[in-house]
Amino acid sequence: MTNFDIAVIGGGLIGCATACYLAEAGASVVLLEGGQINQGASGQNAGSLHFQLEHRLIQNLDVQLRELEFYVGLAKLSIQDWLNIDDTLGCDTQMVIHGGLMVAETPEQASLLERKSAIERSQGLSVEILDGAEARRLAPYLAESVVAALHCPDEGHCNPRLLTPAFARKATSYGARIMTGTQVQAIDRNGSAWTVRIRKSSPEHSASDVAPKTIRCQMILNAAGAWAAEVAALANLHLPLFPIGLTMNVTEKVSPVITHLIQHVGRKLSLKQTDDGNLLIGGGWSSRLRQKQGVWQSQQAAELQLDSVVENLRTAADVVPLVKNLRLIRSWTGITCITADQLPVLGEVAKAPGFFVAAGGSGFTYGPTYARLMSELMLTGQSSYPLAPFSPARFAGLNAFMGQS
Amino acid sequence: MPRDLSGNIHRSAPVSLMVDQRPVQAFAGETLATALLAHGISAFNHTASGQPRGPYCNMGTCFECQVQIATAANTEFRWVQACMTTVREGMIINTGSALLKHPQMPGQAGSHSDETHN
Amino acid sequence: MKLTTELLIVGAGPAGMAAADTATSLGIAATVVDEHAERGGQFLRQPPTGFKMTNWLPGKTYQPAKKLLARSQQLRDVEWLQQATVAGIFPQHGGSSSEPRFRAVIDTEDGSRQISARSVLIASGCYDLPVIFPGWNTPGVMAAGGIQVFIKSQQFVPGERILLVGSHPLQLVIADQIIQAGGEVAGVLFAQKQSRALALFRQPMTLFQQANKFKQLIGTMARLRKAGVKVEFGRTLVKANGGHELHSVTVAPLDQQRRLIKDAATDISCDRLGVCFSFLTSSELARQMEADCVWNARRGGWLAHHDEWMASSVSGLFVAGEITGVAGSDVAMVEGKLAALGCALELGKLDATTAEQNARPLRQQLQQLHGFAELLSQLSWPGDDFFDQLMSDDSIVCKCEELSAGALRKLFTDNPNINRASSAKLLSRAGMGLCQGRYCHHSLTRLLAQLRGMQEQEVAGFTARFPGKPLSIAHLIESASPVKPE
Repeated sequence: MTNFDIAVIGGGLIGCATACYLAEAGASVVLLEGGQINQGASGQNAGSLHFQLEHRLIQNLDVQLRELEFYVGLAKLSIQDWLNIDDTLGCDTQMVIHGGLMVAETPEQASLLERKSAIERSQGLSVEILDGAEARRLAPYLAESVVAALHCPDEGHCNPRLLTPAFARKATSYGARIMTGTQVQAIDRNGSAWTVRIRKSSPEHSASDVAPKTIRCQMILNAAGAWAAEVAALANLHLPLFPIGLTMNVTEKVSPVITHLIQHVGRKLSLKQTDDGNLLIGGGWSSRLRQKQGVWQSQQAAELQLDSVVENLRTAADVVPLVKNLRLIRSWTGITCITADQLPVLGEVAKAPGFFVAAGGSGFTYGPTYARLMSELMLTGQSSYPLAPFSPARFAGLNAFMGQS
Repeated sequence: MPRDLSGNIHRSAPVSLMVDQRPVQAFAGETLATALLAHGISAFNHTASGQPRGPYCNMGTCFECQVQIATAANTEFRWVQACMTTVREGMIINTGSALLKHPQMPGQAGSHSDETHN
Repeated sequence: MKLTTELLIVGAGPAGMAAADTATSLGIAATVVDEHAERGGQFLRQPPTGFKMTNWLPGKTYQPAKKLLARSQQLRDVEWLQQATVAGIFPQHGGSSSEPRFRAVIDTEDGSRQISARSVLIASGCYDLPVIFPGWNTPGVMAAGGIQVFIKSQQFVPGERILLVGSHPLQLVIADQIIQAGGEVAGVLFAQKQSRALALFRQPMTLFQQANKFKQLIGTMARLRKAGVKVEFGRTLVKANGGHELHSVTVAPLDQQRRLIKDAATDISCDRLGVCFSFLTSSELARQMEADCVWNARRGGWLAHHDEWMASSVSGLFVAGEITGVAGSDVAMVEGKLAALGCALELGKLDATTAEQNARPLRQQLQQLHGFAELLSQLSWPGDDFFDQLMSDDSIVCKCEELSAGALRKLFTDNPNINRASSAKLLSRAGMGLCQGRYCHHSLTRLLAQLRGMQEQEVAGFTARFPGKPLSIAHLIESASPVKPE
């Protein structure tokens, strides 16, 4: 047995970043990751820092208004966290905030931009509507078909390949212990503490690193992303977190021409040019989760769908015509998680005191902020920004008959 | 360098190419890689940091032999692997320092590549 | 281009041609897709149709493949697509037992098409092992096989003075071909001691079974001697010099432990260097389709696993030739035939008894041929720990992203949690360039395994992804959809 204050389950962005903040504050932390650091959605996503309301969130604009307002409020906090990120981590994460453009190609889409900008402005997000000509003055690479764009100067991108490993290194420097190739097999309540049984899923390189079989801790943070519901089940809890398979495409490198984060209000698109010069194209195109007799095969990568690749690239080329002249180097899939209401789950599960969750809800864009607020919540019982709207309490009914006595 | 010294081969029709704005003669059926090496061009392109690169595998796996095939006005181009491309009459090729900047913005005239491009 | 086919064969080399030949005789309609201008694969590398040659590829070793090539002209029910690349093959779910199981994206100069196939055979061959040493990216340094292509296929001698360095006897054959084409060979250097390199000649059984090969080799050695070509043993690469253009190569002798004695280094002037140590399988498509593969550095890296019918772990997908383990054209042709039989059996076009009757002699041939191939592989492999000493800290490991061995070692040392090639790739960018890791994955795997004290197999490889080669986006978005069979 080995004792820690906190066990963090999941070596993605939220796990590594929260572990980092917790360890910095003096807690003894162990991070348990079944595969490699940054192997999941944290390393596979597009790296967008999108503070405008995304395409997926504005499908039900009226229904989710209140939740969306909190989201936009969080954005201002997050922008500050991103501006400080390289200092926080002591390295270059290729974070840039050069502004974002969410485009419209039809009048209906343009009016959707107007409606959402009202919400965004009310929460203090700096946004302005541009017509097609203005948009092309700002971004000459945009197609003639763009009739309007919502410009948010505070949007940008960061390199997902670099960010999470940087948090992992920082966490280690603060004394956090990171165990990769380590699967969680059981989570049990033991008096006032938790015991977490673990198993090495593969041989590790250090012969002297004898892995314990059981971790004992006061608090658990479930930051397992797409696998968060499975981890919750180990503690006999329900969490309405669902895996979704998405798709990314990357082109060959070209000299720098695209400075903005490009999104679309009416079609699935995200497009950016990385520091290295490649165009990274995504936006929510689905890949197919593997299943066996209706059971999601969670240890397998999602299956790439050719049609998703083709249509994603077609959308990109429609909006940024130079895309057509480029070669596709690589497509990949990633599995991220989505909650029942598309907003994050952040907080303690009332039925299981000491069991915290941080998952869902634009985990890359808000990841460092979620992590910082969660570390405050876990150590002091309060967070400097209200997380109540995102608390698992809204799904408390699911766990009325669950938990451990 | 000489194409062949054995006297064993009869090549077919000559093919005229334009390479880096200069005329080069090749033979029908040859690859661009052969034509360029025969013409004395050893560095076909360069890396992002400016290192010269030339053919390595000669069978389409390494991408070291990339060159541009350009339009008549030299404003648009596509990348090809020289070793996998058969010469055609009138082909316009850019190599080395004559390579055009990438990407080409629609409606903009091509400008020559500098050191920071692939 | 037909939009649907029974058997899609990737590669028109010895394995692919043999498979098409057998498939058509069993009533299977096949489409063969190949990247080169002419059929025959790397083994034959036919010269362009416009060239008239008096004596193309003399030598008995080429005869069987040349016969196959000649027969391929006459085959009915085979569609040959040259200068076409298979960018990816996607499984089709939920069809009935007679419907296509795969959808392939095929790219040509003119555009991309999607074609459906009931079964697939991947016979995509192999490429020369990229060996990393200082100056290996200098224009003038090539894979020896690449030089051979110039000679065989283009009838072109790509240099005034050509040096060959490696460990594989193929470099003797290439030197011979250069001489016969009128070129000059600066030397042929083997890393192994002479006794090991020529140990093949002391194997009576293989001498008997591979008589043609040995006759050719003896003829080759005689011609090289006559031309005054220096064939040396126990010597290998230190660096390639010239910067912009190769002008010499520094070589050094190896001691008893096969370590370089750098103090005894000398320069050999040359304008073309052919590196000839080993090969890597072109297994990307098979791995993209998630066929089980096993890592074996000496036999070619990722080897596609198969059963006694050349069937892979993916239903309807067969593998043949070098990708099952680099073993030469003889093995490839027999495996191609066997794969076609396996495919016919699986499609119900052949009963089990007849299939087994036809397969048995092929499997017997394979057993014998594999014995020779294995021996050749062992004798021409300089050792698992040989290549690391050739690499300096400055040597570029990932040539597309320009990442040096030293920089990679430092990155992995600073991030001790990374112990898989795929996460190493994600962090470092190695493998993210145009060659898609073909030229760095195996060095990176070795480097990381060594740093972590792990086995190469544990460190594993880069996930093979669509597209198998960089693909024009314009082509892809304009590609036609497959026609669904009624």
